[in-house]
Amino acid sequence: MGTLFDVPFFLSTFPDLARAVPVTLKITAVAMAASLAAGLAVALVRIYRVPGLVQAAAVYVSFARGTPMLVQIYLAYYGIPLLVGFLHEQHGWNLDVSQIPAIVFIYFAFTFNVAAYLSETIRAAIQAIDRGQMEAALSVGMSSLRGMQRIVLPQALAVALPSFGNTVIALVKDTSLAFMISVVEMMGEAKILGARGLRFFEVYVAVALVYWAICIVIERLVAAGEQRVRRFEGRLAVRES
Amino acid sequence: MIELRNLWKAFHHNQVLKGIDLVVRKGEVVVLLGPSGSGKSTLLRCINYLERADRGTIRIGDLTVDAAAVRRAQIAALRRKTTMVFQNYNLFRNKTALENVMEGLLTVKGLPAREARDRGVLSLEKVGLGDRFHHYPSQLSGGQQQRVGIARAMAMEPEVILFDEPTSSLDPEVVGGVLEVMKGLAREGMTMIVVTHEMGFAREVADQVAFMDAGVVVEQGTPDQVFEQTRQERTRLFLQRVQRNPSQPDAQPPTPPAGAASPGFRAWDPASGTCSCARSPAPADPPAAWP
Repeated sequence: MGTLFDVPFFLSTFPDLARAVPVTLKITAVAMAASLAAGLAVALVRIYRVPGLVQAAAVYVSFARGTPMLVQIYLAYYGIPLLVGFLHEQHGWNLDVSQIPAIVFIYFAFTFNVAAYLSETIRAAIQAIDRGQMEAALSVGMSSLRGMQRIVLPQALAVALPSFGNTVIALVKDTSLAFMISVVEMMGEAKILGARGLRFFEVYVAVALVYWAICIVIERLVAAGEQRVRRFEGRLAVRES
Repeated sequence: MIELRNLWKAFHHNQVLKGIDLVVRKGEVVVLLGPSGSGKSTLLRCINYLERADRGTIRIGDLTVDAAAVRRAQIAALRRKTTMVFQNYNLFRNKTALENVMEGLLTVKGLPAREARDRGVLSLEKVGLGDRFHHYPSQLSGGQQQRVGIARAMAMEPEVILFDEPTSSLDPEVVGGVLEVMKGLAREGMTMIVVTHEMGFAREVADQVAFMDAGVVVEQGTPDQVFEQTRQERTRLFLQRVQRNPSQPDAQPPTPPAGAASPGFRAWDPASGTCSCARSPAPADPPAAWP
């Protein structure tokens, strides 16, 4: 029987975990950026009720929110190679599935999932902006695209930012699922270290602390960003809302 | 010159405009009067194409738009010739006063930033806000916001500025300041169509007054003609009501309940218990505040 908590081993895991941090952050950053773009597109489809697409968007959002992340990761991991292989045969596309790194499937899976949630956040934020803002933009001659880009979306961002922050934090934690298809991010690294040292509790405490630290930093960044994008609201507006 | 011919607009089954004809000469100020729901605001919004008229033509300067067959480019062109001043100001909340005025100059007129800034500064100084360039709307009072709204509209140098009840949301003590700004614009020869309940403004500034009710222009003429030599009973009733109760000019004139009068009767004289004229069908919905 050894010690209750092997402090030297616990401390020794941090350098290795730190090496996996960039992988976690990379998945988070790529998935979040792609999800923002895709989520905005889906939100606009639903707001403007683009014929044909609006039903597809509704089904997509419902499916992505109604199935587990882990299942979606497996669907991407097994489904995308099937699709690529099929296209390869049909069209002679020069794509070799085995050349695609596993992390690419993770990007797809997380974007698929997070974009659905973000589309709802973005839709609600846009719809929270007074119609008069767009009308004012149109009345001076701006196109609705311009009005959206320069007037409505900046205001919607201020509304949605806290929610975006929550989504990023949830995403950071969800990236721990990536090891299920053998992408070695922090959680994967922790499992490897635990197996190597035969001390799992210490390494999981260590990895928990690293996740926590990352999330604290993100919270701070979001709070600072919020100050920035909300500066136009002033004291009066805050009291109103 | 602005010319509206036979403009029709319905929201679902509610026919709001029923063949409006209106001619506004360059430099004229036209005040639209009428009870709430008479279609005044809708008419303004159709001119700015915030609402699409169902049919009729809108001519502004050399541009004629047939509402029934309007093209995207025509809407864009029409909007560049018109700007709107809104009842609720609708300043861009994410932009400072100066940025509000500059926005259209930059994105629509494509002016270089420096020129847009100069023009924005000039416009704001003209409405008496030379010391509020960098305030956000949330930091301005209602009267100040509305003056920014007017500065934003006039900086675009449109052929006409449409005022949709510009002082209705304002505290009484700041209404005068906003009206002064509008009078200044009128003196400079800006063409203006103004929906307002400020009778003093109408008498003093308007070249033409048009009284609207139930989607039609009931009576039109100089302020003298409309206010002093009122020809239509409906106009007379409205003016009486406004003068009796100026705090609530928007209140619906009493209307007989649906079915109580034959279709076509709109204005109802509660004193004598008779309907006074038969120009237009009864409204689709009886007024909510039927006594």
